[in-house]
Amino acid sequence: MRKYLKAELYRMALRITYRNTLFFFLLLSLAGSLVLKFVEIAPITNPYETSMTIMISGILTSAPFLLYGVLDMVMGEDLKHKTLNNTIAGGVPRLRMITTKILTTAFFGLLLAAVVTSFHLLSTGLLLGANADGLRLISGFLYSFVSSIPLWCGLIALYIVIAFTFTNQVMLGILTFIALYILPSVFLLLRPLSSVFATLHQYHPMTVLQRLVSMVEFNQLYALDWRTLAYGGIMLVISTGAAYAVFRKKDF
Amino acid sequence: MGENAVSFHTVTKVYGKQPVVKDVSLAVKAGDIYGLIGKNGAGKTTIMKLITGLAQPSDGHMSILGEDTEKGYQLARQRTGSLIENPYLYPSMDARQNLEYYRRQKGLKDKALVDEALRIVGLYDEKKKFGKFSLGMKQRLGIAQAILGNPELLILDEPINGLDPTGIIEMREMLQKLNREKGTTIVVSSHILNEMSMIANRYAFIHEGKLVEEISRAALEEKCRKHLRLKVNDTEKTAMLLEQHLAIRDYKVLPHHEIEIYDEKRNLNSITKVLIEHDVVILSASEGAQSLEGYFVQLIGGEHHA
Repeated sequence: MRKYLKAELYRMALRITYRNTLFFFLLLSLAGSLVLKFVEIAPITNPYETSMTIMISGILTSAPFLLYGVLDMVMGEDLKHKTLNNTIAGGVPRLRMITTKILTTAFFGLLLAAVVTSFHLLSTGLLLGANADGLRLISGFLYSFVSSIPLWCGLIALYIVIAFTFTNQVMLGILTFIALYILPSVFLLLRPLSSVFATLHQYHPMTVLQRLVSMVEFNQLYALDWRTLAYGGIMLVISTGAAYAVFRKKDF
Repeated sequence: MGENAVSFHTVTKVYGKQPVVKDVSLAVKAGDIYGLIGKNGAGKTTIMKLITGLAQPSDGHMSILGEDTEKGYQLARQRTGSLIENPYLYPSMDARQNLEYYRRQKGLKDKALVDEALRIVGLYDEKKKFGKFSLGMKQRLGIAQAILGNPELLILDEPINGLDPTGIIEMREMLQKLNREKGTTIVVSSHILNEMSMIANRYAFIHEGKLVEEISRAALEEKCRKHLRLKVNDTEKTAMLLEQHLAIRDYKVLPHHEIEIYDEKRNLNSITKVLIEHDVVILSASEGAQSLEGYFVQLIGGEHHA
């Protein structure tokens, strides 16, 4: 697997789309900090703390879709231009291929988040001036970030299953967005009608992540969140198993 | 490695309910240039996909480079290069980056292998992204990817697609050189049967998913060589006359009162004169030689479009 992983890392390092995405998020971070510095917004009394809250909420809740984007960079060409055929014909075991795709996506997703976070911490510190209220959120954010990693990897495996099932990548992107950001609200609205909707809402990945964001904001996270870790672990096992099952016997 | 680089024993592949390869048994000997010949949809590509693991057999048994287990197939495929259907490479990367990616994936230590493969296919100085390549250039890079690292077994599906006449000649020479100098076993399919007849030393004729015939080049040339074919009322007497009066011994008696004469000394006038003088009735006479294409058409029952 090491050889294939090294090849994938080499390929991804060459992807301009990835670099552009990273650059876009860095610009977004900078723009946010500049707005908070130079534009007076009435309810904001502590711009640095606000900036930290926006970053935490933004990274945790946008990560599922961002990872979909990174997966598209990792696997989009493979699916569209059938380049996996060469890899299979080259004798790379199929299960290793799936594992490598998950690891590559997770690596570049986490790298993107780490670079953007570091840049944000540095730029807001310099522009807005760090203070205790803002800094106390950082440890909570780190705990929430690490707690979410299995969940994110589980989502990547799930996307792989879906990507092999749906061939239209644009439609897949729209459906993923709806499933992540619209469906939880629909479940919430329908909750009074049936307990099924309440359960679906409660166990939706975005609800799990939203809970973490709230815990960080209210300064309630002092260690890894085992509930999120367990949820992510179960999701990772199930969706990776499904990805293996779909890919193992697939004819190309 | 055993004597056979690839062997199939009653291999069947079914897509849905549609069998596309039916009970195929074949043997590609190590060092062969093995030509798969058949019409579109005959099952040639599926056979190649089965060898390379892109499709999995529904039934039967395969051996690839001496390996016959799932784990073994994977090891064998690491010593195999292939180009199946189209050159599937990354459009956002240039020729060198694409090969560098596959060099790393295959775990090849020597970086010079990339340059060597690019030189062989004439893309050494090419800087464009693969997505901007012409059809012929794409095909060349696909072949470079297949030959990267000098694999023991090469599987090439229509490798001359999109190549200009010069490219076709270069491709032929390259395959023959690989086979001659490095002992690479090559399984190749092509629609252009004349080209195939210049490359392959063994042929498998595939029709409607079945292997119709597996034959060596020598045996095929024997079958296809120049001849005079006579239809007579008495083949036994004709054979005797040919031998005793004309000293012709290179002939073959066929069914349906036909006889084929291969001897260099054959001369229609002298033969007919002797036969008529001895009361042999000549019902028809024709002279000819079969091409690979003609042989194939005859074999599958007179339908064209290989």
